[in-house]
Amino acid sequence: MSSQALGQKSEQLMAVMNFAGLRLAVPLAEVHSLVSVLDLDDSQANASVLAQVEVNGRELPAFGFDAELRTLRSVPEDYRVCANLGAETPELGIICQSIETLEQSVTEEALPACMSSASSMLKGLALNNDEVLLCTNLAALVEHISTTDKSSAGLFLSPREAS
Amino acid sequence: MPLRTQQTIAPTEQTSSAWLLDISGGLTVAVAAQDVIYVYPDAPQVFPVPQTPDHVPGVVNWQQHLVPIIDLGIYLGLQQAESHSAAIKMMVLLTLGDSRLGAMALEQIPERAEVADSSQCELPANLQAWGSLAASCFMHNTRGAVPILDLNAVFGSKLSPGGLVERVGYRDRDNAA
Repeated sequence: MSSQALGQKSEQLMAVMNFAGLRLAVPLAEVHSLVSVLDLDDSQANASVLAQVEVNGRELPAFGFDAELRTLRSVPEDYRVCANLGAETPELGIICQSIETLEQSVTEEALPACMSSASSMLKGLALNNDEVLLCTNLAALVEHISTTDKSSAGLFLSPREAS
Repeated sequence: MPLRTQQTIAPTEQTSSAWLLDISGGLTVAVAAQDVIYVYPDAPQVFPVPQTPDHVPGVVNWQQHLVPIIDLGIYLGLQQAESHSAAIKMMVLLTLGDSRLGAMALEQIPERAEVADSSQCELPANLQAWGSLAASCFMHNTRGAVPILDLNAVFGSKLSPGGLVERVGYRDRDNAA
């Protein structure tokens, strides 16, 4: 059977962020830059904003997640990298243990209807050899953070500002 | 694997083949025979996916295809979801049409049954909440009323978190009032 077990498919290069055993993939094209957590400014950290990261002269909020993709309230000691996401204009930083680029493109399949929930940041699944990758993207992350933490909603650029 | 066949009607009556699926909580549901494409003899590796409904323990990799798993027992509140992916005993792979697949957690090996049109029945009152998930229902000689699943409903978006459980709850409260 040439089955399409999940839904729509798209093939692209992905970067994988590690969160205490959970691996979350984002399109490589959306990874703007990487910064060490040592270079972050945590003087204005609040509930879910773990720190501020300066990119191109702008201060962006940085967030982190645990192995259940719950928003962190503090940066674990082994979270060492901040990935700044946004193809041309970065919008936020994601603090994680490490990030790596997959050598080959993977085929992301849309999350089936029965698995979707309104507040999920996950948009798809992909197989990387025998590993199941959880896939998200910048737009889904912004929506998830804005939904789960109302105080963060105003921190992101509007589409007009981003362009 | 050997699968038992249950003859439920007189041999002269026209029948349709079905599989009886025992989900957690002691409930039996049925699907058309052609909907089952594989029965896992042992529980396969389940890959949990966070931020999904509790009744979806994860996905299974079947021939390089990721297939969502549904546990209707959890959906109905008959079983706790905690650490459930490790507790799945058995699973069946189902075709949903349009080349889509789904998997369902089971308590035991499916049983084959022949279902006659004359055995069709109304959903009993205690199963009315299945209305949105069951295409119809038939009376089995030993298991009683068995809902026949509408797999596109089960694996579609109707099973929003707590949806059916909440509806049952409201129904019970309404009845109590």
